Amino acid sequence: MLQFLLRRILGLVLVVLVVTFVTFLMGLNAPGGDPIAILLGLHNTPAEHAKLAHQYGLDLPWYQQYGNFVLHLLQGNFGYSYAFRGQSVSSILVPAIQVSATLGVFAFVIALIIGIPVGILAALRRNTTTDSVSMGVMLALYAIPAFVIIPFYQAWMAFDATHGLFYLPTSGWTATELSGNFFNDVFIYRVVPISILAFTEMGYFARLTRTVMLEVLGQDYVRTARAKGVSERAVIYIHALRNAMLPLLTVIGPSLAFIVSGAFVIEFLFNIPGVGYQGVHAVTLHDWPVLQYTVVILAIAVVVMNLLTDIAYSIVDPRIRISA
Amino acid sequence: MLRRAPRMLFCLTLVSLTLLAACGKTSGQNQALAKNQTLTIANSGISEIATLDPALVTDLNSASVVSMAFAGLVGLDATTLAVKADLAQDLPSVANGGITNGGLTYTFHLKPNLKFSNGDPIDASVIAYSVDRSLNPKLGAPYATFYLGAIKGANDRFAGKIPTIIGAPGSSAGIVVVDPTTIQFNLTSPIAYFLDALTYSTAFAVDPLQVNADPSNKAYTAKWTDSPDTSGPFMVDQWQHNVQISLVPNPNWYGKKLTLTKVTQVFVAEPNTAYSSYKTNQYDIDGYGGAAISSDNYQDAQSLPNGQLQQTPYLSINYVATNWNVAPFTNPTVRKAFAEAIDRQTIANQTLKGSVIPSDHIVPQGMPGYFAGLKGIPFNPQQAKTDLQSVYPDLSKFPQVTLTYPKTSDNDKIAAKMQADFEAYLGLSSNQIKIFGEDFNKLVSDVQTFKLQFYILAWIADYPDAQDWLSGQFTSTSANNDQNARIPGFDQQAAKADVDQNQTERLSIYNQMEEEAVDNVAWIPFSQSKNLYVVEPYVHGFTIDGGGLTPDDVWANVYITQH
Repeated sequence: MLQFLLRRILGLVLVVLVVTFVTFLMGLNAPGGDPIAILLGLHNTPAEHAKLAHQYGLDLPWYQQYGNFVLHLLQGNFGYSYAFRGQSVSSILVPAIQVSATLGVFAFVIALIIGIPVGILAALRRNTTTDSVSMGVMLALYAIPAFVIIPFYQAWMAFDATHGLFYLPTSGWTATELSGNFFNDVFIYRVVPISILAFTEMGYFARLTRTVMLEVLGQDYVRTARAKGVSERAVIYIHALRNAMLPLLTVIGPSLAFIVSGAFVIEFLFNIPGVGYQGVHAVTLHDWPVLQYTVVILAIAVVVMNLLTDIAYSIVDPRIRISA
Repeated sequence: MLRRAPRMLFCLTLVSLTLLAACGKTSGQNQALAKNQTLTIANSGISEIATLDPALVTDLNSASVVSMAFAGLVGLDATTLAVKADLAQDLPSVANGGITNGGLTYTFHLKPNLKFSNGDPIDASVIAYSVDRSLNPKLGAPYATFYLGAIKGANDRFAGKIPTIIGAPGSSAGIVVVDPTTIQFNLTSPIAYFLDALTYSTAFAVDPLQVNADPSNKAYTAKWTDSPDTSGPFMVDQWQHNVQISLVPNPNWYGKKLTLTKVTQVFVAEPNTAYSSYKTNQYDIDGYGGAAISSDNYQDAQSLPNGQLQQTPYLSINYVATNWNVAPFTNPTVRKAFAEAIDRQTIANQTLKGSVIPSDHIVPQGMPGYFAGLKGIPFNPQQAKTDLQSVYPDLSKFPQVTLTYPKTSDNDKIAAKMQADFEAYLGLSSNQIKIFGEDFNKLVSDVQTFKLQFYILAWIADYPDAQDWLSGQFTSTSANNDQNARIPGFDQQAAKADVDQNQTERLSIYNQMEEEAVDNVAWIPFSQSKNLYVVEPYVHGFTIDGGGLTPDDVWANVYITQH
C-alpha cells in the first residue's frame, strides 16, 4: 500500500509540475497585450512601463520568472494581482475556493443522493414507465446547459417581480444586507445555483448508475444470490450495489473536483464570487497571476481527487492494491 | 435595507416556482421618507474595483466609489460640468486674485476646519502631500503626470530626479504651502484647463498620517485603502473584496448632512445579470459605474414604469480613425468618402436601438465648448461614391482595407453595418472591405504602434475641457495622435487656445479647430454614448454627470421614500 501511495504521490507531483510550466507559458505568451501596458492605461511612457515591469519581475528572463513562480507557489506566496491594486492572489483565491467548495459540495451531495437512487430505481424497473420518465428527465437535466437555463430563469424571475408574482433573487451568494435570518440572507440566494449545478451531475450519476446496475444485476453471482434465497434488498444493496460502486467511484472522485472547479458559467451568471468567477475575470483582465494559480490549484484538486479515488478503489477492490 | 426578502418567497423546488404570490413594484408615489435609507447600487461589468487609492484610479468603476469617499480642492457641477470649489473656499480666478503671474500661479484657500473621517485635519499641507504623493515614482500612478504634469517639477518628481515638488513658503516650487489654509501651485505653462485637471482624483486629499503609517506602503501592496480615512461625503463601512463595498456618511464632511444612511455598491460582472437583478428588486440603481444599460436591455428599460430609465449625454465619442500614413487613407478625398458613407442615424437608432446618440462631432454634447453649429461631414452616399471614384475611377483597383474594432456584441453589429455601408454606398466588394474584431487591449496596442489601416475606438473625456478633445488628440506632437493626423495650422491654434485665459475666445478657437479636424477627417465620429441607468421610483435626487459620476454634493439630495 505504501509503495502504491508513493508512486501515486510522485506522479501527482510530476503532473503538478507540468501544469505549473504549461500555465506559466500560457501567461507568458498570452494574447491580449502586455499586462503592464494594461495596468498603466493609455497615458504612460516607456520609463513608467519599465519601472512597473521591474516591480512585477517581468523584466527578468523567462526561466527566472518560472523559477520565481514555482518558488512562490511552494512558499504559498502567490504574489499580487495585476488587476486589483494591493490585493494578493491568495486574498482573492482563498475566499473564492471556499465559495466554490460550498457550491460544489452541496450540489454534489444533492446530485448523489438523488441521482444514484433514481439510477437504481430505473435499473430495477427497466423498460417501465418509471424507467423511461426518470431517465428522460435525467437526460434533459444533463443535456440542457446552464447558460441556457440561467438567463431563462432570470428572465422568468424578472417577469414575476414586475408583474407582482413571486420570485427569488437572480444573483448573489448572500444578501447585500444581512438580517440574521438564514432563510432570507443565505438560503434563497443559494438554492437555485446549487440546484442548477446539481442537475447536470444528477443526470450523469443517474444514467451511469442505471447502466452499471443493469450490468451488475445480470451477473452470475446476483443470479446465484437470488437462487440461494437471499432477500431482494440484500441482493441489491449488498451484492449488486457494492460491485456497481467500483465504476461509479472512478467517476465520482474526479467529478467532485470538476464540480467545484467547473461551475464557471453558474458562478459568472449568478454573480457568485467563486473560483470560476475569478478565473473568468482573470482572463478578461489579463490578470495572469490569478489565472495561473487558479489553474494550478484546480489541477492539484483534480489530481488529489484522483489519488483519493484510487485509494478508495483499492479499498473496495483489494486486487487493485495488489496489482499496483 | 431595500432588499425585499419577505417578498422573495421560497418554494421547495424550482418546478413549483409558479404564479402564486402577489405583490409587485410600487410606484413610489408615497413621498414620506422611508425608515431605511440604505441605497444599493449595481456597479456592473466588474468583479471588484481595481483600487480605492485616488492616485491610482484609471477606470470608471473605481472612480464611482473613490468619488464618494474622497474630495479635492475643486469638483464639477453635476449639470454644467463647470469647475467649482470643493474643499477650496472659492474657485481661483484672475478677478479674485487666485490666478496670478499670467496664469502661472494658482492660489487656493481651504474651507475652515476641514477634517478626514477619523478627525485628522485636512489643511494645505495635506493637499500638498496628496498631490506630491501622486507624483511619487514609487507609487507609479498611471495618470499622475497627465493630470498634474503642468505643475513645476512634476515630471522630474515622477522621473525620480527630485524628492518632492513641495517648496518652502516664498519659493517658486511647484507646490507651496503658504499657511495652513493656503496653498499655491506654480505651473510651467499657463494652461487654461489646470482647474479641470485638478478635478481628477490624482489631486484628492488622502490622510498622510494613515498612508505613511501603512507598513506596506507600496502601490501594489498597500492596505490602508481597505479602511481609508476619507475626505469626501462618505467613508468605508465595509469592503468585502470581490463582492461589494458599503459606505456610510462621513461625520466630518463639510457639506450638507446626508439623508442616506448607507450606500452599498455590489460588484456584478455580467451587466445582463445586474439588470435582471435590478428588476427583481435586488438593486435600487443599475447602470452606474463602468457599464451602462446595454443595447440588449435598452428597449425593455424604456418600458419600465414611472420613468425609471434615465438617459443623459455621456462625454464619450465613438469614432472611426484612419491611419493617415497608410494607403489608401493617405488621400484626404478617400477619407472624406468613407466619412460620407457612414449612416450614423441608422447605426444609432436601429443597429443600437437608440442607446446612443448619432453624432459627427468630436467635442461631445454636454461638454463646455460643444459646437452646435459644426458643419461636419454629413451622410451623403451619392457624394461618397463620387469622391471615391475621383481617386479610383475603377473601383476594382481599390485596395483591400480592414476595419479593426474592439470586440463586443455592440461593436460586432456596428462594424457589420459599416461594412455594409461601405459596400453599398462606395461600390466596394466584401473582399475589399474586411472587418476584424479583437481584444480591446490588443487593439489599443496595435493602434499605438500604428499597425492598423482604420479602426473603431471611443474617447472618454479625461476632464471637461475641449483641449482634451482637440489639442490632446490631433496636434502633431500629441501622444494620442495615433492616426498621424497633420492638419495645417492646427498646432499653432492649439498652442494659443490651450493657454488663452479668455474663455470665450478660447472656446471659439477650439470650435474652429474642431471644424478643421472634422473637415480633414482626423476622426470620423459616428455616435455619442449615453449615460443609461435605471433608478427605482422611490429613489430621489440621484443623478450622474456627463463624466459618468455623481459629484459629491449631489449625494446630499438623494433620499428614499416609502414604497
